[in-house]
Amino acid sequence: MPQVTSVIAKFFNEYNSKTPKKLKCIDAYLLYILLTGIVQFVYCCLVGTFPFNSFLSGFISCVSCFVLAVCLRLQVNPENKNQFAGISPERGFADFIFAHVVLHLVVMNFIG
Amino acid sequence: MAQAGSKKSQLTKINSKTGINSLIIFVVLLLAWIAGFSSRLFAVIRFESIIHEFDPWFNYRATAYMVKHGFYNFLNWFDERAWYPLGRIVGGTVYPGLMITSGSIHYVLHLLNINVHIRDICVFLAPIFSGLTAISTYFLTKELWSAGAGLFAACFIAIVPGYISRSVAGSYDNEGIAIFALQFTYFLWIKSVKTGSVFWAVAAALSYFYMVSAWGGYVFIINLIPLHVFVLLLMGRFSNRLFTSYTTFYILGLICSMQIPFVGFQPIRTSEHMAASGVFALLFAVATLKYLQTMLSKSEFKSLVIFGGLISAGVVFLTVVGLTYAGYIAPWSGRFYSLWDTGYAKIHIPIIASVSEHQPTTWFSFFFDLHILVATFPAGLWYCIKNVNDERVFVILYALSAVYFAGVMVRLMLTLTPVVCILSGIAFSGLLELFLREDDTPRNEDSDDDEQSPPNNRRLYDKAVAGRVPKMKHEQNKESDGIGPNIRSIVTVVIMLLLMLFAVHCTWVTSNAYSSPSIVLASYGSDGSRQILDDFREAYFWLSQNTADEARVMSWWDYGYQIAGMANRTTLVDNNTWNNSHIALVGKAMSSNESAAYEIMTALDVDYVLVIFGGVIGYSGDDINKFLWMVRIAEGEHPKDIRESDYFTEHGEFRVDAEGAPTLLNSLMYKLSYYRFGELKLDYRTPAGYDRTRNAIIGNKDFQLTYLEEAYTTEHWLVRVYRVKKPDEFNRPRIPVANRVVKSQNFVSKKSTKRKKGTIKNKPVIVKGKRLSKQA
Amino acid sequence: MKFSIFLLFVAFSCVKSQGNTLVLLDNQVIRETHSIFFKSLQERGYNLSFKIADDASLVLSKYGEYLYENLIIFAPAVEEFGGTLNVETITQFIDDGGNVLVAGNSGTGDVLRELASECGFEVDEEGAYVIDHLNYDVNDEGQHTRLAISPENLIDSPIIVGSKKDAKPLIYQGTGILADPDNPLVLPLLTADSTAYSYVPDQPIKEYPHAVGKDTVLIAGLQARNNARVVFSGSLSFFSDEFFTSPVAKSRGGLKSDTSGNRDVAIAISQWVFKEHGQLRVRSVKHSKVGEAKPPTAYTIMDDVVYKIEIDIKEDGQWKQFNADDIQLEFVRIDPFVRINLQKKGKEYEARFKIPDVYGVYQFKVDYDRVGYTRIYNTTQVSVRPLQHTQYERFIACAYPYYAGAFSMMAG
Repeated sequence: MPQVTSVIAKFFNEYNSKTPKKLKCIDAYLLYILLTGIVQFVYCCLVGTFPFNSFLSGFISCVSCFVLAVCLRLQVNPENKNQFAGISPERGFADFIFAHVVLHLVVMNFIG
Repeated sequence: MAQAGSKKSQLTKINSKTGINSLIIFVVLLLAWIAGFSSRLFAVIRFESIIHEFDPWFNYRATAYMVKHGFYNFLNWFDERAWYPLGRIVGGTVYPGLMITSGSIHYVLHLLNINVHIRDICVFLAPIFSGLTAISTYFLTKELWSAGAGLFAACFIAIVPGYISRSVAGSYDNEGIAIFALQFTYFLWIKSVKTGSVFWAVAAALSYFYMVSAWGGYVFIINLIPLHVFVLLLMGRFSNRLFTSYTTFYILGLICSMQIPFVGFQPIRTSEHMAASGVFALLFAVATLKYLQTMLSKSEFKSLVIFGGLISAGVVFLTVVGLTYAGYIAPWSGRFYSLWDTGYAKIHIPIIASVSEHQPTTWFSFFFDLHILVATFPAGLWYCIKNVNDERVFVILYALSAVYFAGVMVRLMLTLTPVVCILSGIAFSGLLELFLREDDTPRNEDSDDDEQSPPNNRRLYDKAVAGRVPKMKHEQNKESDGIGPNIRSIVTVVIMLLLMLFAVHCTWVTSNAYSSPSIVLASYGSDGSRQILDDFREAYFWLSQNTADEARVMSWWDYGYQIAGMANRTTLVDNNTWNNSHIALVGKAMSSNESAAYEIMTALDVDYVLVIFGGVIGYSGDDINKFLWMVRIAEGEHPKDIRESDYFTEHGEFRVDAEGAPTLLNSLMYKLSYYRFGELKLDYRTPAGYDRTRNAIIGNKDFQLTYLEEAYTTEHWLVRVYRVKKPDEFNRPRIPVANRVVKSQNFVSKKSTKRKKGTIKNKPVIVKGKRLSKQA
Repeated sequence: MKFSIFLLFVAFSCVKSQGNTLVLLDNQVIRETHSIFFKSLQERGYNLSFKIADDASLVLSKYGEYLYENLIIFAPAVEEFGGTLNVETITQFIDDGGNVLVAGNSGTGDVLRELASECGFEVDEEGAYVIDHLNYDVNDEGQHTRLAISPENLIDSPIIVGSKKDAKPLIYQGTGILADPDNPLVLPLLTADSTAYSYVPDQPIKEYPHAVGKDTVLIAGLQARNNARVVFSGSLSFFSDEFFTSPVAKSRGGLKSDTSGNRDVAIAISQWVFKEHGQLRVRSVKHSKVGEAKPPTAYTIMDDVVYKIEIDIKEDGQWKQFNADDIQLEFVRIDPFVRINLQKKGKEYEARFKIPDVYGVYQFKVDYDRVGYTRIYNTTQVSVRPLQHTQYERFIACAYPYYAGAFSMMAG
């Protein structure tokens, strides 16, 4: 157990020192999404699943935002440059925006 | 300047080369489209421009409704003419993609002031989409292998009978557009895996959405793609590209698919879809681990993995078990089980097994539908396995699973066909590449017009493959060095012959086997003349003209859509077999005796009964031949009243002649089929009442119907319509002569046309001239 | 003859005509011996045409239209009708809604027997009488066939046989009728006492009689499913002047009266069989959502529905409102989903209910079938559709966090 805690502590240090600022920005966004998602899930557990489609659309919109943000993060991350040969950070961001437009149109349709 | 000029000319040279290439591609695809389109027109030429078979009639009716009433009314359409008296919410129980597609084509054409009847759009939709399928197959194969293989595959898919069977003109069914959506989704998926781009993944999700809206076979995609990802993970081919494309595709595809009312919450509730979400979670876990791996040292990583892995595994397992137990996740549906165990459906869900296209496929039909492609596609598969990379793993999995499913169900031959075409395209392209190659390396456009120069077009995506492919080519070169020009030309000619044979076979199969609309039958007389038997439409037209508008017609469910579509009358059951017990009720009515059936029929307010009888013309798809399924389905719901064994003779045979089981000979279906048939002598060689379909003289010849009366029988007796008598027609409780307690002697009339006077016993004789004394 | 014309004239002037009636007789004597009965009919406005049953010119219908609404057959001895009349045409007449009153006696001919069987009852063998050695009339001639019947044996339906309370005892002499007790359409209007049986009087009893005790029906009625009415009496003399006027007394005491009740019962039965009594009709049916005037093209599940029906009864030739408290409405889709009593409100019967949460094609069904009354069977088919996608609840309070979540995502 102490080993695990020490590992986690080390992880934080490494994270703080190594990650560029842009990525940290995205990470903050990810954290925010994660919290929203958890809140919604807990709320659903407490209240029950009655407006199931509302819950689903709310929750899935969180999950998909999370997914998209992670994708963006991967694409923007300079360490992964070789893997995404044809995709510049700008292109990645444009794709990100496009996916969001599609996503939110669908979510709007589904939520009410 | 000169330098610049030469550069320019070089550029134009390159341009013209690519220009010719793209021209060839364009021309070939266009030809494939036209060939595919025209070979699907046999049905229209042979017969006429009508909708075929059963399901298309419903699709057509729904489309016509949508065009007439608008999209929102269509979504809210409650069809009270189907499934009387239950009704059917059409908007919520249908895959609307097909109707929306043809409806929007209709809308656009009308915007352009081109007046096309919606029926024509429906008839020609499938052939047009087959062209699109060819194009998307080309792109898919191009991504997988090379443009040349793509062209081969496009040509194959344009004319392969296995696909034509579902997309001839007039066969207006979901599959027609679904195969296009399927291929296109796969293409976009492959593209997104290759590039790792969110854009392509979103496009794949949208295409998947279209597929979901079009056909129930979308489940195949949502299982195959996760399988692909999973296998890639097992092979240690995880990459961030895979992560981005799959997660984006999955989450968007999930929420899109839930927009279709018919699909609803199924994607998160049923076990069929669970694999996809499982892989999603797994991919997340793997990605996190990889990320951590980059950050941490090995030993630290190990301890963290063990700790976290144990906890997460336990949590996932418990939740899945808990949810299934609590009923949130539905267990696998019956249709799904029947995919694993071919005997399952026959025992548990006769209604699924009763459909002929749900039967296991025979070897013959593999050959019949695919011809030489059956032989060449393993070769293509071998090529893929040999030169495996991320996307070829996909096509390998696709091929293997599709082969399995096609073996289980005739219907799923349809999903096999595209992959067979792709792999055969690869195989042929590989072969020709080998044998058409000139001895010296400069060998280009002069080859067959189907053939492209691979090194130019083939992009090497993967480093691993990039390393391997030239080696292979080297081997090939070495081999081809050993092949003399004679062998080379012989092989080429043989291949050409094979391809020609294939084309001939395809045309023959299409024109003979798959172009009959099945509502109009053709028969050939002894002198080879062709007769059209139009009994179905005759009967439906009679129904629409001679019965009350709200008349309710009972028939076996196969004919429900046609009655609704052509006669526009209320039906009890139809081809959308969503309510088994209602069908069982109809089956019970058909298989019980007349009086028991009458009770059911009055409870269901039946006005007319329609049966299909092929005994006169020898049509084998009639109701007597389907009768055992009715009995089985009825037995499933009413085991006390109907027993299948009652309908067999002691020796376990199903016979309609005098030795047939009495229950069978007295069942409603038997009586309705053979009513007055005993009087009919078909020709002077056979005795009266000789059933040509079953080659037997019927066993129960002279009988009367009490509760029904014959309303209409078509020219060749193919369709027989009976009217169910209303209770008022049994106005008086007549006591039949046999049941009378007080017997009376036979009455003989003494009246004649001249003497109309009756008789009275002990009649006082009136003596003329005398007056009766007046009584007080 | 003059008298009868005068009577007819009177009848026309005071009461509206009740319709043409063909009376078939064995001989003209019967017209005189049953004059009271015929007179009462004529007084009520019936236009009687008397014919001998073997008349060669007998026709019921001409050019597809019936000349008569009612048919009286007081011709027990007829063996074959004259003209175009036979059992088939008479049953066809019944099936087309005509009313028939038949009286037989012990010598009923086969043709009437056949007719009776077509209507669900059987007449006992030729020569048979209903015999009751305990309950015969004092004026009996020794064979105990002239029976004194208590009015208690009448069917329990004032609409058919009149009030039973102050009814006088009845005299009956004739053959017995067998009716299937399980048949709901056949009504035993008058049955014999438990000590009666039906047999040929002067023959020794060799076999078990066809009808014994209460099962021996004396007068049988039938209201067919199309509401045509048929009455078959085993005794012609039941309607005769003699039985109408003669005193009645049970030989062993008990029942005693100066005049028999035959007249009242016979007239009541004739009123019923010719549909003067107990004829109902539906004047109008309305249904709509509560608070709306017109019915929608399709109801939606869980709608509140109001159903109104007006029912009339014919009294003295006039349609008047019918009052009853046992009329039920069913809302049926194969099985009834709702079954409630209709409440009389003003002119109409009304029911309000909520449509069940099951969609489908339903029928409003009023099925009012009471002994003596014509059957009212009225169905109105409506479709009940599920909620439209715009009709579902929106913006549910407890879903707000989800909305918030989705919008915050969008902002992100």
